[in-house]
Amino acid sequence: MTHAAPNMSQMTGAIVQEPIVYVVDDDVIVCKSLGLLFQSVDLRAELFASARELLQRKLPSVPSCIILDVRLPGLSGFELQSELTKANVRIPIIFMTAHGDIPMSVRAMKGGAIDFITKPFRDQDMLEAVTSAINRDRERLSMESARLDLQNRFNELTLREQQVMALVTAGLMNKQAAAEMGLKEITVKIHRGHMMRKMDAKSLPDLVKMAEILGVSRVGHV
Amino acid sequence: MAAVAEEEELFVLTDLPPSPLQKRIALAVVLGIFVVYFIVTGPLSTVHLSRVDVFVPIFLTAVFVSDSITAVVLFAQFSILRSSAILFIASGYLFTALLLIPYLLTFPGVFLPGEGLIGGPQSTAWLYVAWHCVFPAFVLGYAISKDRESKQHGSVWRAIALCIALTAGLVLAVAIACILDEAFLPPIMADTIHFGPMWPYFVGAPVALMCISALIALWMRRRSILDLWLMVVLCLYLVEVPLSYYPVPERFSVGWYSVRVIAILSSSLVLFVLLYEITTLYSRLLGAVRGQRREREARLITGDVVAASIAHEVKQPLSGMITNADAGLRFLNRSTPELDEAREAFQQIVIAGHRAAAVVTGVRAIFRNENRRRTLLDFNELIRETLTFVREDLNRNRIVVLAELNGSLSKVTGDRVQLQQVLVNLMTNAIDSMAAVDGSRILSVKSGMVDGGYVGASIADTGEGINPREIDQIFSSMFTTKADGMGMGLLICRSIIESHDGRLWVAPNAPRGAIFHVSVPSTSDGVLS
Repeated sequence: MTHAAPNMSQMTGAIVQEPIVYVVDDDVIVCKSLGLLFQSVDLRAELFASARELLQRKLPSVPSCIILDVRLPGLSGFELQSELTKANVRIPIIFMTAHGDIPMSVRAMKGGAIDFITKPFRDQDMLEAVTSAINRDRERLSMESARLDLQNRFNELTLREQQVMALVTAGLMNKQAAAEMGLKEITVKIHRGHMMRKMDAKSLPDLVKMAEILGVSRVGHV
Repeated sequence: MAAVAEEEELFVLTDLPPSPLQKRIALAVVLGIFVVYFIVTGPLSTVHLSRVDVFVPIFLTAVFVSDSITAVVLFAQFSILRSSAILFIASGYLFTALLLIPYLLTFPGVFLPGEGLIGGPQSTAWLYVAWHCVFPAFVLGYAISKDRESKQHGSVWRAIALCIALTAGLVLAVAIACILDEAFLPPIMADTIHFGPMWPYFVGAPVALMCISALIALWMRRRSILDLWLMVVLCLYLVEVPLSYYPVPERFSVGWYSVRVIAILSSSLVLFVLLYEITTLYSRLLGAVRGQRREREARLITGDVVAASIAHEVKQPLSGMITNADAGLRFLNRSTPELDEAREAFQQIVIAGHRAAAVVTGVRAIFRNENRRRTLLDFNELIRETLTFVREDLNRNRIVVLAELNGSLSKVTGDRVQLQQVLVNLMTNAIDSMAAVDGSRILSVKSGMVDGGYVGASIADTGEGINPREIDQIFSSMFTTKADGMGMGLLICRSIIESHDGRLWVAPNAPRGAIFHVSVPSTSDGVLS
């Protein structure tokens, strides 16, 4: 982490931020009751009466989940789901409905929902669904931030170092890489040492994994 | 109701009016026969054809088969329609079919050279006279009886058996007269080939007379497809007369052969039309059944949707109540209970509870009567009106109505349309249950005062009745014994009667059928506000 860019530490800090549950239901009673339920377990909840309201809200990148009623005025729950997918918002969605038929739940799950709850529900079920959704989102966020972190480190490398990384992770020996780049072997060794330190890679397999995540390949960078 | 009645009328074959196209085809057939007549008597009159004895059994077999099938189809029609007129015409076809047997046996040269197997030289000719005079007589009987409201109330099969027996007896009597008393009958034939000089008087004149009178009778009462084609058949019979005698009065002439061909046509014409019509009606029936099924499914789906939306509306506040209660418990179960939040949760439960109650009240209001449409009604008048609504159905199914309406009935307060719906439903059910049974069909409707200030009515049928095991289910939704029913009728009937503070129940009728009882409080007792 020593080489992490300053904005990285900010991102890392965001992961431990307080999670938020977004509740979208046009029924005031249901909406408020969920608000109270989450309050009773000290979960921060934001309540919305329509899909539009949620779309207008700028969603911070903290672990969160959306609880969405299928039947909503204007944009329906399913339409909101596809809108969010289009906008590349990957917050997990838990659908809920007072209808609860199989085709509906199949449609929701196919659209990427992580759970489908029929009203009325047991508080335990809802809280478990929310917890697992938030955990999943937390994982997603940390993966995303790790990737961003890696990308930043990679961008810090000089062009030579980037080339060395591509060749070495492709399985070339220092000698071969030197021949490929038209450099002396000793020079390649120096670049390699700098590169490994800047990327914070402990071993070659570690570096290969990073190259995979970043999509660095010999063809692309040489 | 009116639309349904019209739809059903289309299925009664002998009541169907002919289409303009059919009229044109019939006219074309008649004109075509005249053209044939002029060709045969004109250019072809000089052609001499050789005698082919085997032609006679072939032609007679063809006529026998088509006549007997026509008779069977018409008897089958009678078993549904129970109209005596159909019995006449069916018997007519049976008569001609059976008469062909002695006709064939007496025909000279078929089984024995130069003479008939039985009877003398005049027998065949007199049997021909009987054939061509008695059939128009049956048509005449049909024409005269068809507009009368003569319905067969007893067993259909007994009536058919009686007709067959009488017709067979008639054929036997005619055959005996023509064969055994042949010597006493005036001579028609000069020999086994040539017609005698008396042919126009003993054959031509009576046949023409019978055909023309039957034709006139039919023309005056013409209405259905059957009437139209029977008229065409009579025209064909009529054409046979001059064609047989002019230009060459002998057997195995061009005229004689063409008369036999025309006879095959005239015997199969009605059969063709009947078969064509049956096929057409069958396809229409199929369409109608499909339509009904679609409609039923559509209605069922609607019912389903209504139920689902009610469930949704109730589950919303219920869900809110449960979740609020859960939240409230969690606030109270904390190490330091948070009373303000718990109070808030309980207030929300109260609000949600009231809303759930309002939803239920709203649903009931949808199905409840609107009192403002209630008026003071005479139940007898309502029954009479309803009977006129179902008159068509009653007539079509040959159902006798026995109405015993108590003249000193108190008035009731109610929704005229709804109460009428109940009566129409109950009567239609009664008619439907009787349409499928053999034997007497009686709808008896009674009204009277019932103890406790109620006006009562009963609708009794002699139909299939209700299975005692199903008697408790018939008022529940989705129960039906009808192929095309959706099982909502009786349920709705009962809820209408109960919303009038009345009762609707069913009991078995003796010896068979069911009695539906309706009772509604009479207004003079002030039971209804």
